[in-house]
Amino acid sequence: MSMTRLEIQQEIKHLKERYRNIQTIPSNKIEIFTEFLTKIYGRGQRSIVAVNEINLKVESGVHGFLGPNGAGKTSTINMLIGAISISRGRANIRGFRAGSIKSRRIIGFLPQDPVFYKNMTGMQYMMYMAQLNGLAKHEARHKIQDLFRTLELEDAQDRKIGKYSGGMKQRLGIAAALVHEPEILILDEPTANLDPIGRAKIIEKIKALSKRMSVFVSSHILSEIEQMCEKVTIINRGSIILSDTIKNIKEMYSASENVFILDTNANNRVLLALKNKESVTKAWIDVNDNKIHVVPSNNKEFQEIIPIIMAESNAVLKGFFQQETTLQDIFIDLMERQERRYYD
Amino acid sequence: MTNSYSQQTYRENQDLYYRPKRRKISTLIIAKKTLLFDLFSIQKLLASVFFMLIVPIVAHSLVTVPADTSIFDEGYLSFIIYFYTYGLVFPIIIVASAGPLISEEVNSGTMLILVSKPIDRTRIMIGKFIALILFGMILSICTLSIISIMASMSYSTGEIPLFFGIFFIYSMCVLLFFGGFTLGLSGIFKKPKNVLLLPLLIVIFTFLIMFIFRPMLIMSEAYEDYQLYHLDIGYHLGNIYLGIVETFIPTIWEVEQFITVFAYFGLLKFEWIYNEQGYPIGTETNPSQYYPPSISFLLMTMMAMILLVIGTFMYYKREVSV
Repeated sequence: MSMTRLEIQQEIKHLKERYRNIQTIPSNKIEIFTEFLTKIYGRGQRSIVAVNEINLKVESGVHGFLGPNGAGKTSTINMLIGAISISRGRANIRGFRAGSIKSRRIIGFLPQDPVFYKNMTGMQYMMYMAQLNGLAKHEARHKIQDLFRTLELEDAQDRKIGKYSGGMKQRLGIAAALVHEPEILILDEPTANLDPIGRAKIIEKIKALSKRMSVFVSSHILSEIEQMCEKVTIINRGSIILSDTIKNIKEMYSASENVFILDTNANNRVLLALKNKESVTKAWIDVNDNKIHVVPSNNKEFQEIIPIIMAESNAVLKGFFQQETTLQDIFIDLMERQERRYYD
Repeated sequence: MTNSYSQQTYRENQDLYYRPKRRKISTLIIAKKTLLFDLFSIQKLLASVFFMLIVPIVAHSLVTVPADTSIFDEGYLSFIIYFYTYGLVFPIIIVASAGPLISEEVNSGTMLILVSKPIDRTRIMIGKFIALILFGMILSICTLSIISIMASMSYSTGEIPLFFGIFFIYSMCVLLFFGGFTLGLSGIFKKPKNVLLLPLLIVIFTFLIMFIFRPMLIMSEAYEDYQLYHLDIGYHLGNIYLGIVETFIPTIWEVEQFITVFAYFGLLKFEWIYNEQGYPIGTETNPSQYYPPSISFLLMTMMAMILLVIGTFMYYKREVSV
């Protein structure tokens, strides 16, 4: 059946209308993608390279962005949301240029130390944020009520934000980032300036949120990142030094530096005995816990000779376990290595 | 690294990535928020109206005018309102209100959240400008309403609506100039105090310093010889005001009591009268007419708009971070 010119035009118009808001995306999984992303502040001799050609690939799930203070985390995030310009390179959020209106439509953002309009109430602020994201009033009101309930801010919704506590402000910031149901949540140090209880609550909320959307969270508090994230990117002095899943990173580091801890009733004698064994690379009594720390050359052989050493030293074994490598250990080790390389 | 994947359209995910069309009214939302939370408060409005009215009220209470006198024939109240209310206080309030609108938000950190929202920065600027205009309108209407009630007790009531209308139109010109000018600077400078400095200096220079020195420059003919009127904002504003008055009252130039004071703003020039032997025997005042009022208005508006455009551009390019 042939179509008339008018029908074809109408069909095109209909299709355009239908697909107008369907976005071009990089892949099913890649949420944030950067290529040689660079940020330079200032000009000439006084210029500072805050972010140096970073290639970031953030897939769906919770992705941690780790680094010490001044590493370039906030600059990277600010480039992603379009608050600051990109000096070189490019960045995409689901295929849209970072900072474009389309990319900002799909992200929710919580800045480090969020600042609010103190003379607004929580509800007024949330309504403002919702409307800025294009939500109609009635639609927004419903969502805000839900968010206030979830984030335990219901009782404070009509209170001026100036009277909110630090934790409440942080939760309000998260609520504001979520009001338009974003597909990617970008959180810059979400637990900064919070007490331990406040931190725990926020971590719980982020974990719950990660089931519904992708989360890109920056922090320098490693234990929190370890609780929340599957993948991390570690940045220092503006450059990425590591990016992988926490599991892989730990495995990699456990393989390279694997420490066993022994505790006996005669640690000095046992240490002497250990030092003569071929299967032991390094052994020492740690000043912090007064226990023997051993780096074996061969794990299996080392575990087999333990009863022999105990017998030889006439000692009783009180404890024996393999030290678990935490993200913090890895992070500190990486930072130290980078600093050494930097100053060499 | 290739970016070929970024060109792919995943139609199979259309439901996942389909988003409803967003409403494009963010400019008005920003205007509403700026008006209600940044600019307007009952205390601020009352204080502003008080300062705008205190001198006219005191002056009015000191002068007695015969019943049914035309407010335009007896020109002192008009001049006080022109000079004090809309020459000094109103511009200062507008400058002080417009100055922090962008710079303060950038400085405090609230702008970071605002720019992460899907709104063009130009819309933020326009929204704030709309709010400023609305605030100025409300302030002007409140002030003029009180003055009109007060004036209707002494002057012929038939002319009060005209008096109200003329000043309202003039106040909008002042608002457009000082508001646009200051908001433009707010987009350029980072610190609010730097934003306020230049417009406040303009107000003080135009309406206080030049008010003293301009007559001297006019009498010495330097004002005309060096064509200082081109750069004299006081002259242009006076020209606009008299242009508005003339539109509604074409005979206003004949009302000596109303017009004479505008000599202080360069709108009149003194010319010597010579006798038959060529000796000066006195002076007469004539309209200077350096510029038509419409051109003065265009100049002022263009100046403010150019600065507003530059300010918007600078704000567009500005790095927003805490």
